[in-house]
Amino acid sequence: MGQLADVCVAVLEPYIGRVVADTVVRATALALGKPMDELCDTDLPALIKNIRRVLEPVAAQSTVDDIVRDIEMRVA
Amino acid sequence: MIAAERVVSSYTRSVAAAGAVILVLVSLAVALVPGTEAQAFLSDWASAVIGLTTAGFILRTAFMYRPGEKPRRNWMLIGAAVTLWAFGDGIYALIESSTHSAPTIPGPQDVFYVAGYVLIPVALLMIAYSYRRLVDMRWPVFVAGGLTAAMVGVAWLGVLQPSLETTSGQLAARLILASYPLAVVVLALGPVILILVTITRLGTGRLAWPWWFGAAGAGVVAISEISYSYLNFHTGYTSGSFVDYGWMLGYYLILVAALLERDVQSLGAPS
Repeated sequence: MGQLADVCVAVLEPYIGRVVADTVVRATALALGKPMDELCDTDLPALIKNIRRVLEPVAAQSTVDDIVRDIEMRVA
Repeated sequence: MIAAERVVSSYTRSVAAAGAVILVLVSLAVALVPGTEAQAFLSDWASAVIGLTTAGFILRTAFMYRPGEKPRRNWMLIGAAVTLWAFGDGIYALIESSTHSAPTIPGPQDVFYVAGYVLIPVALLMIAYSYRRLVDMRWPVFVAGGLTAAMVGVAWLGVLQPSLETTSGQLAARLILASYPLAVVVLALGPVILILVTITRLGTGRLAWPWWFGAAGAGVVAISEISYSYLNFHTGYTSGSFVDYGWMLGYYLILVAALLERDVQSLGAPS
């Protein structure tokens, strides 16, 4: 798996479990027309947009912001 | 995985532990106090107080979300349903305490119970539906639908139909009593199963933790309601019986869910 995908799955896993985290990242990669391990830093905005979309019904805005901030810090 | 001890606050642990101790003490008091009237008094009022306390904690959790956030609406609906049930318990207790006999069915308390049962399926279905972007809902809907249909079939063929045939009284009244547990299965247990199957997909993910307890609590309340209907059908229910412990346990589990929600979402904590 690519570094960005690894980071996203690692950050999401404590919240939504490994399987669902993997699915969320994989679905974004598919939507971008590339395999998961080819996700790169330029795909980060699309990944974050999708993460916000899927978490919005089940998580507080502050929780989603924390997750996004954590991803951004780890890939910086 | 983040260890639970790092997510669950000491506040949640303290309140949950205190609640468990109170629940055990109340149950022991109900079981040991001499006289059925005293048992009924204790059990009825304990149920109402525990229900109202739970509703208070749920609404507190709901209001910690910002207006417009989706989980806020779900928690407010659950809080409203538990408040209505607790009011029903309070009216039941008031009538039984003042008249020294169980209220008639249907009675004023049933207005609140039925209103709660209108809200609870809406709330539970909305909670399950809120996971739709994370989980493919086809399998949970298939499993919950199948199990609910099977439970309705078993309840009807195994319990309710024989009961209808062996009990006397007006057919319409008996049909209403018989349909009540079936409605509880469809409106409460079905959505509870749907939530449980849905959040199973999240594994140890912490966004599922509160609903393990919340769905279990709603399930325990529903099973108690079915047991109550069955016993009432056979005139075997009295306040202070084992069914009352189920209601109190169900309220307690929903209270723990509301406490956990604050922790897993870091509500109220500085971001």
